[in-house]
Amino acid sequence: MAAMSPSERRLQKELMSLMKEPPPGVTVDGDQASQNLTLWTVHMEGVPGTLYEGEKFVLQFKFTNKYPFDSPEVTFIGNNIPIHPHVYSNGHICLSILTDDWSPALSVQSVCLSIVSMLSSCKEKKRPPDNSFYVKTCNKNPKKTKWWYHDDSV
Amino acid sequence: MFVEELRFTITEKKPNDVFFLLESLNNLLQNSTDQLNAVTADLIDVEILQEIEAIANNGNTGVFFGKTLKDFKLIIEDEELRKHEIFIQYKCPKKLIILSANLPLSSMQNLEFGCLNEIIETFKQYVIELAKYFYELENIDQCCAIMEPQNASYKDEYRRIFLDDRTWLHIEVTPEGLGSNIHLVGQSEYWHNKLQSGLLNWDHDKNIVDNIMTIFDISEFPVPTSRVPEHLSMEADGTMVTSIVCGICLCADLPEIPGLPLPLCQNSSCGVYYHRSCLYEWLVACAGSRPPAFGVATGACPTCLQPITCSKTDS
Repeated sequence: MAAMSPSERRLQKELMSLMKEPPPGVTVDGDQASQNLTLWTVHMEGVPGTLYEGEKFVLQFKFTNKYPFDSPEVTFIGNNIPIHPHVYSNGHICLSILTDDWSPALSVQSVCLSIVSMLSSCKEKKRPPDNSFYVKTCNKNPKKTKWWYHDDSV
Repeated sequence: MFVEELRFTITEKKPNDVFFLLESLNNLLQNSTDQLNAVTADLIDVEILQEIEAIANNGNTGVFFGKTLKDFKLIIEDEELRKHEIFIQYKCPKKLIILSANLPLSSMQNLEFGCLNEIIETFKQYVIELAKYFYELENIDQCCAIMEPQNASYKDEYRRIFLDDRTWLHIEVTPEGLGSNIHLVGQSEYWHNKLQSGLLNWDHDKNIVDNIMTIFDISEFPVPTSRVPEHLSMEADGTMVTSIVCGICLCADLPEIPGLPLPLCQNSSCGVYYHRSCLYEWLVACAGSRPPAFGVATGACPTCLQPITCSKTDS
């Protein structure tokens, strides 16, 4: 086996443990991720008893070779983007741990859990107030956005 | 062989000018010279072969060949039945050097030896001189929980002894069997104060383990509890191992940098370990990539967000 870089080593380990013990409702596309360690697709199910019960979402994780010192780029992709005050219709997610509050002690698993909990605590399905303006003007990479974290309640 | 090929060139290919013939001849000669060099590069003289045979027949010492005829391994058993491995390289007739061994080798490296028996004699003498070194290391390994090095051997002149989840004691053992460079890994005030006052009363007539027990006023050494973050991790060869991993790179040991994850966070409810190099890189990156004053980076623990400091190298 060719020598792995530190970021590849860590991603490999994360992939192993996520495939072995995935959090409830979360599954990673292991074949795709092991083909290309820097691009993961994660399937997520809405938690029963919440507004998103029965819905299925797809998350995309992109990693740079500076991971875990650099946060992953995480967006919702596919046909079903959850309608949520912190999720824009282009799939971008306003979540502080994905930018300013990122820490290398976080992982794909903890990011998934944060997103599950962000969805689960939602009281009313609606898009962010600035959705149409943001989606028209934003960079393709959500990490380029200077996020203004609206509130912590949802 | 050479003549055959030459005949083939002349009769079959029927060279019609003298330049072509010369070129073919030149190529053939070049190939033959290369082959000859390749063969002789792996040759050793008869004298050493006979010596190897004699040693092998004698039975006390094991002799093994490495990848080439010029690499040997000797296995010498000492009076305490410890097995010592010595890796030797044959440079040219009557010129052997020791590449490595399972012992600290500073006094023997770069020495040239005339024959294998000379190495064996020198090594046996050296092992006798190291008697106190072996005794102290064996005593430490038996009495204490060793956090580092992993699979400690006689080659490792240091040990890191578990004191509590966030504090280890670093100690080096000299070839004479004396303790040196004794310091704490971790920033516990409790252990630090005891060490500072206790070091002055070090008793050179007692062994290292007894001295440490006196310094810290303990009757037996603490052992790691289950609170130490051990993770099942997959090695490159597919085997699962249980080891303490770094909270940043998720690895136990790094191929590029020596050293295991350390209890660097002093928050008693955190207890996540980090490689010094990983934590340092993160703290410096958080501070806008400016190198920190005095080589000590400060910031927040990536796990518990409490203040944390980290120097680039071990103190």
